[in-house]
Amino acid sequence: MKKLLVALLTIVMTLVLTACGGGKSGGDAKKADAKFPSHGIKMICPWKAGGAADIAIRNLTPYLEKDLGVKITVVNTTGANGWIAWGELLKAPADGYTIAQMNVPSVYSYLDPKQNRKENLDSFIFLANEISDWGCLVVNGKDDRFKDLQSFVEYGKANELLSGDAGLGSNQHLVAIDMERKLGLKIKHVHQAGWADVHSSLLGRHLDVGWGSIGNILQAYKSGELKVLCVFADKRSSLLPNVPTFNELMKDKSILSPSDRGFALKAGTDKAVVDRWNQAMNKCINNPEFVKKMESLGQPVNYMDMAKFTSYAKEQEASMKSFMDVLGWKKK
Amino acid sequence: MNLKTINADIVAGIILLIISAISYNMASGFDNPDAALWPKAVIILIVIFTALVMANGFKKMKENTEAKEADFTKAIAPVLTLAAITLYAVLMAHAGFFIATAIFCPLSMYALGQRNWLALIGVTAGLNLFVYVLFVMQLELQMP
Amino acid sequence: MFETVLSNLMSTNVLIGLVVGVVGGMVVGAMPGLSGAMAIALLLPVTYSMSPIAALVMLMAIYTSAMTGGSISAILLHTPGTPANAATAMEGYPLTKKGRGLEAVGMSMLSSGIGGFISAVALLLIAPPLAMISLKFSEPESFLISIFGLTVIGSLAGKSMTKGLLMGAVGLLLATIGVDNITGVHRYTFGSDNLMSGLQMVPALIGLFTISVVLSNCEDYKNANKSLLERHNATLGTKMLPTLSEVPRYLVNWIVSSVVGIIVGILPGAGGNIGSWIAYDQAKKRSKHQEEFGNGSLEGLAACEAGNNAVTGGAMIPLMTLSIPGSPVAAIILGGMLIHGLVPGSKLFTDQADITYSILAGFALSNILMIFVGLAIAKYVVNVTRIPNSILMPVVLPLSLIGSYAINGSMFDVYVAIFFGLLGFLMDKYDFSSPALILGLILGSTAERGLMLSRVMSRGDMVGYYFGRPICLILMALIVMSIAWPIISSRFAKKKQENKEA
Repeated sequence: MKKLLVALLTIVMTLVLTACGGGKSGGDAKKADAKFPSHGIKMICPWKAGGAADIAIRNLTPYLEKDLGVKITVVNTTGANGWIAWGELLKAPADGYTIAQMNVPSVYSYLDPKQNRKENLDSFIFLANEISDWGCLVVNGKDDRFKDLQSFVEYGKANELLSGDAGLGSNQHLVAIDMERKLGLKIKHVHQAGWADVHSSLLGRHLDVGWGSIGNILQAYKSGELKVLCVFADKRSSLLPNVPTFNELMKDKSILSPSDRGFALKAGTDKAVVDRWNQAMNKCINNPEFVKKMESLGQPVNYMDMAKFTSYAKEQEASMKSFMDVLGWKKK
Repeated sequence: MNLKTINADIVAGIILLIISAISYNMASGFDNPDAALWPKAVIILIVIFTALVMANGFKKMKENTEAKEADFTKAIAPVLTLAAITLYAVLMAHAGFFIATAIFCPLSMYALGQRNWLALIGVTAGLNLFVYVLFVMQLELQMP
Repeated sequence: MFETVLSNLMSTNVLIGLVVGVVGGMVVGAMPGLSGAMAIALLLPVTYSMSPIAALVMLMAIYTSAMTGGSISAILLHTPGTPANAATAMEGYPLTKKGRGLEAVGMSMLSSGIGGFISAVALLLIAPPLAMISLKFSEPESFLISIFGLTVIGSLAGKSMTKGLLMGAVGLLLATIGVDNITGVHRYTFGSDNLMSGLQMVPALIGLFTISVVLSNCEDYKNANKSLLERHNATLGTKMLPTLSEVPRYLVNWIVSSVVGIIVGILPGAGGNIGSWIAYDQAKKRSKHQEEFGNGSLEGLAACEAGNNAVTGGAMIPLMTLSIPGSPVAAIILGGMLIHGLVPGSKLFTDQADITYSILAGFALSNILMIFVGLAIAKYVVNVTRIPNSILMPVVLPLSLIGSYAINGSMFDVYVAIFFGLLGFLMDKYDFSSPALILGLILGSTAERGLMLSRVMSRGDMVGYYFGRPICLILMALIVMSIAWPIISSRFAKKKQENKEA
């Protein structure tokens, strides 16, 4: 019985201390430093450690650390299509010591009324874009039905295409819908778990067509196992100089499929702090050594400064809205 | 039927049937009927297996007239432990892992009957140090 | 060729990378919640400045030894570091209770090393043809493999088969929580962001296995000052390795389990998590000592560990030949290869053969080194079974909670672990099988996705589609055999007995 009493005591003590601790943690928001940065920075990655997005961050942080002169700790906070991480960013004080990766178009999932988000693009400062991993149209390298985009489109109008993507609402799915709408293709969507599944299903001829990003397809394209019919970018990629863009081939239509990895701060951050970040990002992302390293990883660097990244994010939001019905983003 | 002699299988069965009914109902309300197909099939499986388990439970109850009486005094320790763990987790969320552990670890050791003060302090300090070195210094993980 | 490989491997850098990888991987693997993927992702930028051979040998050594490290805590503390080690906990912990912890850890090290080594050899010699087999698999095959995986419940269910099946089905239902990847519908999320990506596997595992044991130990709080061994009136055995005469008993087991692990490892998406389960199931069905299973069987343990380490080599096969990363860890290793100019594909085995074969030989070597490191530390770590519960439980619990937190940096996962702890405690008490629940949870989403997508891919004629695919036919035959096997084998046993009597 004595031991039970002690156990009870444990609980009471814990409770009391919880209350104290709760009180304490509320008051540590700091005013913006005069000299930024004076201590360590937290960088939130909304995706799992080891993925393409994580690699984009972990390769840049050593350069940023050198430029800013403080330690940057990368933290992977995943879930809710990135919004757990962005929620964290917005909960932290707007002092520049917490920064998060910002992904276009993942961020637009706040448009889904079912997710009840009060935040929108204006909650963030779109600091800089680092990587633009454009989408591509990919078929099996030995598939002689599809010589080029033209033959693909003709075949797709006459026959139903089995099309692999990385899930409903993924960039890959959206570009397939765009093709369906703008060119009248007949597409059956197969929402697989990720690019690895699409890739092997394409190689095994279980699917007709797949949609992958440049980073996804680069190695298989070089080895000839996969053919890339076009890239959905505004200009040809330096990593795929021989692959035409969609807009180049279809002059009267326009389809872009961006997947961007940039950075965002919380809105309301002190101007001096934002400027310091801006300067650091500009210098580090454009560092030729860094650009070369990322390209060898299949991630094309595409620096956009604050003004450009912000207006770009707004533009893309508008095009995202046209997909809201397909995504089921409506009130119940 | 004495309430105390009710078989655990039957209690579990009733709980599962209630959960099944609720989740089936929720599945019927999904926007896209395709999303409900698999869950519904699984729920039907659950109901079938639950029925079999319950039937077995009733049989056991009939055969075994002197069913074990639920010993509620025995349940106190796990319930207290669970409460302590939950409070520890809540404390962790608010005060951080290291403070929460510095409180929880020696208290729970004491509660379990450890009276060696050296062990109480040494183990707590050692645990915190180990976690600090591995999680914070080596792996640079985020801590609550 | 052989000489180049040897001299490449014997450089100090490579040897340091090898040792750091093996030891580091083992520590990380032994901690619940910390995974090889995490360690590799963090170390990746460090490896850029190393030589390609040293870098990749280190990364692959972490991958394989993290799998093994998980078995130590699974055996001694009933705390599987990864879902792949859950079956190890089932067999290893009862052995620990009997004072045979050292033997169990020794067997686990040996089997892991052998499984990993065989898979490395397969990777060295027959990677390209094996990769071609993996391309025969797509969504319909994924579905059937998941179903085949679920038949393993028959071997895990314990005292009551219906209860085991029931728990498997409950696991399948729990797996549907989250946003559906195919329709975008939010299923059973109750409007919570935390549930959008579903229940996380590792917190559920930590709850069902570790916290439930903490709870049941505390139920026995009067004996809390006694250690695990004292409470079971056991003494710590000193036997560590099987004797030479026992080896033949395990030989076939190791080979079959490794082959199973390699095959499951090369399949895209199917998930290396189930390699150990299928190997375990196979071992049980072939065993002459089936009664030991579930109650501390070294054979079962050997099968799990050989199986899950063989998955590592298997997962590298589609990666190195086709640049398809079959697992999250493989994806990170791909990054490591690219930055060093090693591009997956057939050229890797021709133009860059010197480097590639050096890396693969290093990988094989790391599996051997792992056995020695593991056995060397086994003698010390096994002493945790001598620590009284009043010290052990207050240490295990914080570690498992912080481990649950570390995966996604989310307190919600900690609460999930506690919830599953209670669930697991009650389930154990009333003979509902928690391994069956875990298996359902692991396989649920793969099974559903496979089924729903093959419905689309079949363009309406599902039966014809399935029966028109040779691998599907093989898998269906395997499923039927797996279900019918217990019935057939008991018939056989009866006949044998009758013959004897006659």
